[in-house]
Amino acid sequence: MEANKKNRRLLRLQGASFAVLFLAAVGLVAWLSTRYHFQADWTAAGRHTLAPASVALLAELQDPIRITAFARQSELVATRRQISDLVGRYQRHKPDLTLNFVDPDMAPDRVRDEGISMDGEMVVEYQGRKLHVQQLTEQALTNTLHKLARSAERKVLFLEGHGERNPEGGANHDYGAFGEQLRNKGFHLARLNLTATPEIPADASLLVIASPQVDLFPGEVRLIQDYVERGGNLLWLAEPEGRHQLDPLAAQLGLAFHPGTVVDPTTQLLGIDNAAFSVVVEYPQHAIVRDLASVTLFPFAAAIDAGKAGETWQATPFLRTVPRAWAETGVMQGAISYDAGSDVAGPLTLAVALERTRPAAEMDTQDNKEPAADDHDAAGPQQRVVVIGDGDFLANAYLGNGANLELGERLINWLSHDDALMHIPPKAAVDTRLELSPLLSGIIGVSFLFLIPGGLVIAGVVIWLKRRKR
Amino acid sequence: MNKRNLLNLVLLLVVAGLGLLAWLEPGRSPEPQAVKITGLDPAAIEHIRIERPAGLLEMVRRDGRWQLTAPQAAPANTVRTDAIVSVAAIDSLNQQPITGLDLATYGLDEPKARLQLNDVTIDFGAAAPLDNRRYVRVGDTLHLIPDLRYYQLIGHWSGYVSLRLLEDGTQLERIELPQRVLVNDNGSWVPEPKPEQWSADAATALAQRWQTVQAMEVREYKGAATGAEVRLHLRGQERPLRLVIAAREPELVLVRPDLGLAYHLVASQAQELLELSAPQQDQEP
Repeated sequence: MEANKKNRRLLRLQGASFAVLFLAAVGLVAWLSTRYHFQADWTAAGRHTLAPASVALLAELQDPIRITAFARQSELVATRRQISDLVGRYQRHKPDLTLNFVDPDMAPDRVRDEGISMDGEMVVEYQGRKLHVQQLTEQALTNTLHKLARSAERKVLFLEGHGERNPEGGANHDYGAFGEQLRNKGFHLARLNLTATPEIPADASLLVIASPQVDLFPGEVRLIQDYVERGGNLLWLAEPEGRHQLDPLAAQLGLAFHPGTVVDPTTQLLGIDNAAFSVVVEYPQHAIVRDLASVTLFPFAAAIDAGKAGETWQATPFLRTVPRAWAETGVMQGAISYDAGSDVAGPLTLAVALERTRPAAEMDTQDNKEPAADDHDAAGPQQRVVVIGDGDFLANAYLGNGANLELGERLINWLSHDDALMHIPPKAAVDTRLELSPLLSGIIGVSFLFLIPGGLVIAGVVIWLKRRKR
Repeated sequence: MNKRNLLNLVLLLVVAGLGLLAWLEPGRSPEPQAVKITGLDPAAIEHIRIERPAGLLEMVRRDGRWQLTAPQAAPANTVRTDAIVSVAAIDSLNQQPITGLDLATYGLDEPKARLQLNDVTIDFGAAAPLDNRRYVRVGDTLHLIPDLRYYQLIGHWSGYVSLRLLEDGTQLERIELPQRVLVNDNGSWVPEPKPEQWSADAATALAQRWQTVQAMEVREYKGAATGAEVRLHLRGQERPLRLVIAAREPELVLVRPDLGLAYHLVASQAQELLELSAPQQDQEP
């Protein structure tokens, strides 16, 4: 083409048109990206589809699952879309999983009845049991389904026949309120009288000994010892007044109890006019009490010496008094003070968590007979025992104090291996790491910083010079 | 057609296609607009009527100023009235036609409060279980609005009275204090009787303070107030405005017997309002 004036003008016009049209196209695509959403999982590892753990769990759940999402209908919030996206991924693997939306504003009675506390909360129902999900993540929903699937197996036995606290009783010292909470969480509670039924059922997830008031028969103690020896999970809530023939059990666990009742002057700061109440304000990094936000209150507690427990168990004292508390061996009346000769100085251990690998021989026997409840457990066959020097903290009279109820629920969850929630790891893309030798790094650096820009500049100058010569 | 023109033509078609997509937005439902609970313009509201458990409250706007007319005639508190009339233009957080709804579920079968703005009625029902919202009914629609609005309606009526002792525009002609009288002499304030030493600036400042004084709180005052009095003579009014000094500590309490209202002021204002400050040494009377 001849480079005359007309042609140059035409070229400039074409160039300008191209620039304008190109920018317009980019702008329009950017605008449309804010208006339309399109999702597709093109990643090598399928990072945005359901994790294999979730798919495997859904395959185990034979009955229909019903999810009711309490989310507002307003189009201004995207909660319903997020819920649909999340639940939709499950529905692709389980067609009988249904999702219904309820506008919480328009169903206030239902919101109150279900105990809904936030917009977007979901109620998941399976086999008549319900659990709530507040986080819209696969991990939260899968773990909830996991709990629902397992909860039918969680049988908690409360020992009775010796004046123990009753999980259905309404008296101040009973555990009626706590038992109700556990039943709501899907635990199956039962009471066990070893005199009438001299056997601890194999399907029990946990045995609870809640503050016996009279002595147990030696045969009963032996049954409990055998249960622990075989690998059974146990929660023993003791009191300062005595062990009621359970000392052999304490010895079996490697524990001993300090004499006297724990006295804690800190409680007076909280307005409690009784020195026999102890408070625990700090918690170690143990699964039972990790991130427990509030204080827990223990009326009339005994202190535990876990000195020998470490020989056969992995022992963790997880409730400890403040250092200025002590175990008072004198009469709990009038002015109480620490007596260096007889009293035990703080800080004192109020509770010990014991864990060990479940005895192998018993495991084999169990496996041959019938699968134990914990065989489903992803955490492995660990035996768990918790001994606490107080049973009052879960009683109807004190359950509402501080974080007592939460501690109680965490205890039962941990002991029945309900803390072994599924961990769904974030999926990593394959080959995302690029490792370069120093030489290669240097070559790339020099190329990008100097060679390529320099080459472009030289090419530009050459072209410019060539055109100028025309 | 050369390559450049062809490229531009293709690009033009792409831009036209994208433009059409952006213009027509196929497959997208229109963006919902925020819904106001009434179509009223707050500036056009002239009459407020609130039926609530604490009793009827009525206010009217006269010459641009709100006046409380029931249960008691008194100048109204502008901040409170502005908050009430702004309910007319509040965004509905959620809404639903009431057809088929059980109003008792939302506490609207027997409303807890009824707000009437001009001829529009807004019934306030129960609090919603989540996020501090309250059910209100306007016509045939159930709305949810922030719960705070309900609490702005149910306070004691004295809380709706203006905190100002004198409204804007009123002109003082004479101030009778317990120990002194100030007279407006063609714009200059003069004490009577004249003390040996006084300052015109101090007299003007004292009158100015009365003109703009504002209470911390206004409460209903039952019974007969006794004590020294302040009389404020206003231009165009035959009778002076009487204020009984009911207390000086811990707060200065000025009672208007004609309205049955007590204006609570900071104690330090007693001296500023009731005494003529002594002149500075370098000032001459």
